[in-house]
Order: sequence, then structure tokens, then C-alpha cells
Amino acid sequence: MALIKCENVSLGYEGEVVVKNVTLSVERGDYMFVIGENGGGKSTLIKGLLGLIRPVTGKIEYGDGISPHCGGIGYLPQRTDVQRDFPASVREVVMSGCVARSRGLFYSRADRERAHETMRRLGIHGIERRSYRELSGGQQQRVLLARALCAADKLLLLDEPVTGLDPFATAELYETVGELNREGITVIMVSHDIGALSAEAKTVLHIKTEPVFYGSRDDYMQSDVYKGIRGSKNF
Amino acid sequence: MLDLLSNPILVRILIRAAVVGAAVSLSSSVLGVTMVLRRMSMIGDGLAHAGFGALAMATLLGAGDLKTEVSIPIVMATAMVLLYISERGVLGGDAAVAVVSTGMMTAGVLIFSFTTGYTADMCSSLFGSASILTITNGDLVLSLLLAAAVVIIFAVFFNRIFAVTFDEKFCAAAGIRVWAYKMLTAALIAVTVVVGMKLIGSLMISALVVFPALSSMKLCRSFRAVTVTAGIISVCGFALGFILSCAYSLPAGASVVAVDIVLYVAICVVTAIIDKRRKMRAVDMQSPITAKNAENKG
Repeated sequence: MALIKCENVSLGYEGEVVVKNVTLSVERGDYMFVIGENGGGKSTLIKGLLGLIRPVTGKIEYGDGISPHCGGIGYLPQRTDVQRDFPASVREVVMSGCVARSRGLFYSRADRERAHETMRRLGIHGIERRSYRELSGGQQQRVLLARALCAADKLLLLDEPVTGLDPFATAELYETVGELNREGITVIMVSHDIGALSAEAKTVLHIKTEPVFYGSRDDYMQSDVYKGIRGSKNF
Repeated sequence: MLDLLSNPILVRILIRAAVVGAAVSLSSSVLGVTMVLRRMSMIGDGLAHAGFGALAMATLLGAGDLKTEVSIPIVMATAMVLLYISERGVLGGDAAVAVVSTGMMTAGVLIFSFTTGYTADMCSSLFGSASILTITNGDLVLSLLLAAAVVIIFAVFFNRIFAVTFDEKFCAAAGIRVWAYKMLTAALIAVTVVVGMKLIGSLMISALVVFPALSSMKLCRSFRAVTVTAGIISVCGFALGFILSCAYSLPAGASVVAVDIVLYVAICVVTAIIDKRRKMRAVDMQSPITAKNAENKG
């Protein structure tokens, strides 16, 4: 069964439709790359998938135990100014992913173990006690990825995860995300940068107020949409 | 100062003012950490100005000794309005604060001038009381309730407060009612501002929100440590400022804020020096000359 299924979904604010006619299905183990220009409705689509706004028309269905709001989707939002110099230990940040799943006010033993396990998995258990603000951009993203994994272990939704990272850190992050996907985690990655279309991606959704392409990565590379962008160079 | 302490009534007044001040310092600094980190410190400042207007309105309403109690809901309502308009994007974040705070100040000044004879009141709510005699038992109870509420709320909701402070978007996606936490912070800061206004003054109260938080952010690396340290710095700063104000008969508000500022600057200087040394040492370790020296010594 599909984790997320959209059927002719339109999304928008206060009656004004920003994205329309979205039909897609995210299967277990999928790695979907969502691409589109800024202002093309990516953020609106993300909000819709996260259940933060209701579809104007159509229906978004969730399966396989996924439900937005209850820690079903591990979300990695775009980085904010607030975070850059935030005095918090790596451990605190990673653990905060658990607030999404535990209904209690305090972290349980299971939460702590989970955070520990996730940090080990992403190779950041050595910097557990360091301050988030002292880390490099790549390390910070890794910490936020760990937080997302603490929130949900089936589906990750990454919003422009490599913005501001140097090429080396970018490659490393893609590698990590690809690895997580191979381990069975479903990934949705959103970006405005066609260069970010990683070789690991399986399906592509190109959105420009409505889907202009939806299909496998290989088909996308052959498509006119892709060639058009590559040709014009000013994307 | 010593002959002051021999008078039991004066001692009681002193202790009462000290307790109110310490309670307000503790609450303002603990709330201050999340306010500063979320770029909400100007809201604190705006509310402090609104507090002045609210106090004037309370006076106009004939609240008498209950002025503080009547002001609190007015400032809370202002806080909600502020949050609403800055959130809704009716006015850009700090423009909303400027509009509301100057509006409330103006209302305050006008009301004070119409209801003549309140010039002393006006001055003390702006700059803090020159004399601590004005602190009432009602203020004492309120400030203790406030401090207890802040401490309990932070102890119980600490993980969530951290999560929301660090990343609103993530929390919203996780189904946490970010809005509620914002309201809660704003409501608590509204009470803090009103309760602290009499002692510290509405023009300076936001210093108690900002400085201890900034100081402890320089010193600590985890959110928990920052929050606890801010509280400690703030209460100590208050104690020192209060003692100085009694010893040299200065207004309590100004001397407490002065101590907070001096502490912050001192902490900045010390941490800058330590950082520089650490960096120099790191460079030394890398330079081949020192490595050679070390070899020779070995």
C-alpha cells in the first residue's frame, strides 16, 4: 500500500489555489525528488503533505501507519536564522525529534535509546555533547536529519536540505540520504536545484503550479521538460 | 544603611521589595532565553511600554491599589493583539511592535495628564520607583505566583519549549500546538512586565529579559544550561543591584539594570579572551616550530 496517495489534489490558502491537479503515489522504499522553481508551489505542496493545510479539492490519503501530525513523517525543514547560533547540545536537538511521537511530556527510556541509536547510525554520536552552533553546516544538517529520524522512521521529507552546504558536505548528505533509502526508508526530497537531482532518486515530480512531469528518474532525464531546463541554463 | 537595618518596619519593606525583585528577575530571565532565541525580545520591550499605558488605564478606571491586577489583563490582551498582527503579516514583525508600544505609551501619557496629580505615578512607572515603599503585599503575592508558574511550566514543558524555540516548523509538522506555546510565553511575559514595572520601570524592564539571557548564551552550550544559568545570573544581578541601590540610595531599577549590563560586558570580554587564547593555542600546536621545540624538549 502507498504511504501517501494524492488524487487530483489542489492546495492553496483562503480559497486561492496555488498548486493544482497533483496526483501522485509514494510507495514504500521510494525516493521521490520534487523539483520546481521558487514560487512554483513546492512549499505549499509540502504543507499539504504534512497535513498543515487541507486540500481545497481532492484527497490526500495516508497508508501503512503513516499519518501526519502523529510523528508519521520525519520532516527536515529549511534551515532558519534562529538555528544558526542556537545554544543547544547535539543531544538536545536530536532528542527533540521524540516530542513528535511521545505523547508524554518527558522523554522515556525508549526515546533516549532511540536517539542514541540514530546518532550512531548517522555517525554523530561522538559529538553528542557539543553545541549545535559550533558545528559545520554539514554536521548541523546531519543532526537535523537525526532529529527527523527520531520523529519518524518510515518516511523522510527533506526541504532544500543542501542549501548553503559546500560541495563536499552536499555530496556527503546525499550519500547518507541514499543509504537511508537503501535501508528501506522512504524519502521525499524537495529542491529548486536541478543539479541536486541525485542519482539515487527513483521518481521525479516536476511542479510548476501543476505537475509538468511525474514519473521515473530515467524517463525524466529523457523528457523535454528536463532538456528544456538544461538547455536554457538559467534555471 | 546599617541604621536602616535596625528598624524592623524598614527591614520588612526591604525584604518585600527584594523578594518581588528576585521573583521578577527569575521569571524575566527564564522567559528571556526563549524570547531572545526566537527573535521575540522586541515584543517584550513593546509589552513593557504597553504596561505603562495599561497602568494609566487602570488608574483611570479607579483601580486604586489594584492597579497592577487590572493592568495585567490589559497587557495580556495587547500581547495577543501583537502576536496576531505580527503572525498574520498585517504589519511586518517589528513595525507591529512599534505601533502598539508607542500607541499605548501615548494613551498612557494622555490619560496621566488628564487625571492630574499623577505625575509621581507616571515617573515611577516609567523609570521604576525611587522609593521601594510603594511595593505592596499584593505585589509580593503576584510576583511569587508568577515565579512559581514560570518555574513549574518550564520544568514540566521543558522538552516542548525547547523543541518549539528551536524549530517552529518542525514542531508544527509534528502536531505540536506552536501557537499555544507562543501565547503562553507572551502571557507570562505580560505578567512579568506589569509586576516588575513598579520596581524596575517600564522603560528598563526589558533589560531584565534580554541581558541575563545574552550573558548565559555566551557561557553555556546547551539549552538547559542556558536557561538555568540565565535565572542564576539574573537573580544574582538583582541582588547586587538592589544592595547597591540601598547603599547609595539609587533607584532600584537603574542599578539592577546597570549591574546586568556590566555583567554582560564582562562576560563578553572574558569569553572573547578565552576564545582567542584557545585559537592561538590551536595555531601553536599546528606550527612546525613549536612541534620541533616540543621534540627537542622530549
